[in-house]
Amino acid sequence: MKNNKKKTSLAVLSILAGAIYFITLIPYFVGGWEGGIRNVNESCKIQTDGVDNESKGSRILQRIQVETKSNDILYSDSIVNIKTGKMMPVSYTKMYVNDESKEPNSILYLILTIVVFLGGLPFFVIPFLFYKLVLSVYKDEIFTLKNIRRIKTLGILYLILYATKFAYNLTNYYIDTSTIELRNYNIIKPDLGYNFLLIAILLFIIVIVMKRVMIMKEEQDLTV
Amino acid sequence: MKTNTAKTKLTALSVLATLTYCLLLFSSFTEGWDDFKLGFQEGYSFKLQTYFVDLKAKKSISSFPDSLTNIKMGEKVNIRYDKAQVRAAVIPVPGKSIDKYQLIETLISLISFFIVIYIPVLFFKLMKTLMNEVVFDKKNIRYLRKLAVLLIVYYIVDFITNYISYRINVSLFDFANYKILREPADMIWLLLGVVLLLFAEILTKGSKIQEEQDLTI
Repeated sequence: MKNNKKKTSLAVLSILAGAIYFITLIPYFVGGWEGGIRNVNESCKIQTDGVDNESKGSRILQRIQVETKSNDILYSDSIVNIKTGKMMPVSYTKMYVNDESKEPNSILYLILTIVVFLGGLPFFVIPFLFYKLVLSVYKDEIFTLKNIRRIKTLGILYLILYATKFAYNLTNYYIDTSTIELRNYNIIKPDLGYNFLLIAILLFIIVIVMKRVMIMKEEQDLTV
Repeated sequence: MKTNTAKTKLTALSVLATLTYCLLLFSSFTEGWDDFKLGFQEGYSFKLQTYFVDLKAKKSISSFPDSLTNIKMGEKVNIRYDKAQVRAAVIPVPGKSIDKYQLIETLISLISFFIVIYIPVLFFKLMKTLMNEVVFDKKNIRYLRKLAVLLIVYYIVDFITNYISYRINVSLFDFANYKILREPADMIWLLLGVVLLLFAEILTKGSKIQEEQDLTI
């Protein structure tokens, strides 16, 4: 009875982890979806307006993180609050820049494309591995070599996610700083996403612990 | 020989996890340092307050209602603001239920302060025992369960805080070109919490097997 309860709680936890992973994916897809619609809109507009894309150069759409340049001026802009009709001091920390100037460095864009493809792979493989883990836990096959390999692969995939996020953010930062400079704002280095790295290391610790349990179980089975 | 390698691996990974966690803490501190200084200044003057507002262009996803000069090219570029810090008077608009929200926000800040202090303490304790090769210990399981619960509570607290600041922002501001959005809570804490709960379950099973093995011997 108690064993069954444990088994169910493990299965429920695995399903929960899988479900939460799917939810963490949603913002990436929503962002990508919006970006896709925007690109389609823009290309339609260019076609109907008859704009020569070659002469005008490509559009660069970047989401940049900024901070005010001077420490004395914390609020470099202002905005009208319709509720009160008053102007209020404001400083922006994140913005989308739509630039029509020529692309600065095609190598950086190539790196970015490669990084996006590399980072895309774990997004699809991780849920599959979660599913496989849940299935084996449900069958009460927890401490098996297959599961250890799966968790190890999950750790490696999270490491890849960390590395690609790191590379993506840094490349974007270099593209931004080489094409854009604003009067009142500095472009700041983005978050390097240490939480993916932490998850990867914790998964590797779980692998070692599982290996030990497996050895103990094997010894116990042999004794019996 | 093999056991020794596994021991070194576990110690190395525990050290690495501790270092990564320290980096994570350091980056959140450096990120929030300016906001902390600002909050301190505001608390000192009691006149103005900064509101963190998430924005989205009202018209459509392809509209850029603002523009800025790009000094590099000397040209104007189209801009759409995404996040802003708005400075406004502390005194709330009459008839709005901001006081209630601010009270909840203060209570929640206390909870999150406790969590932010307690999580590193538990984490370092756990890593220390793992570094000392004590794996299947009841204490470790307790640490892990507490850590997991705290991470899940932290996610919930983050969610509520974001919702409250969204409600306050919506009741105080309205902008011509922008909609005010609710900042999403970071799901990674929830995921980490569940992963730790899984880890605790595995450790529980392991400690039971070890107990049985010890009894057999």
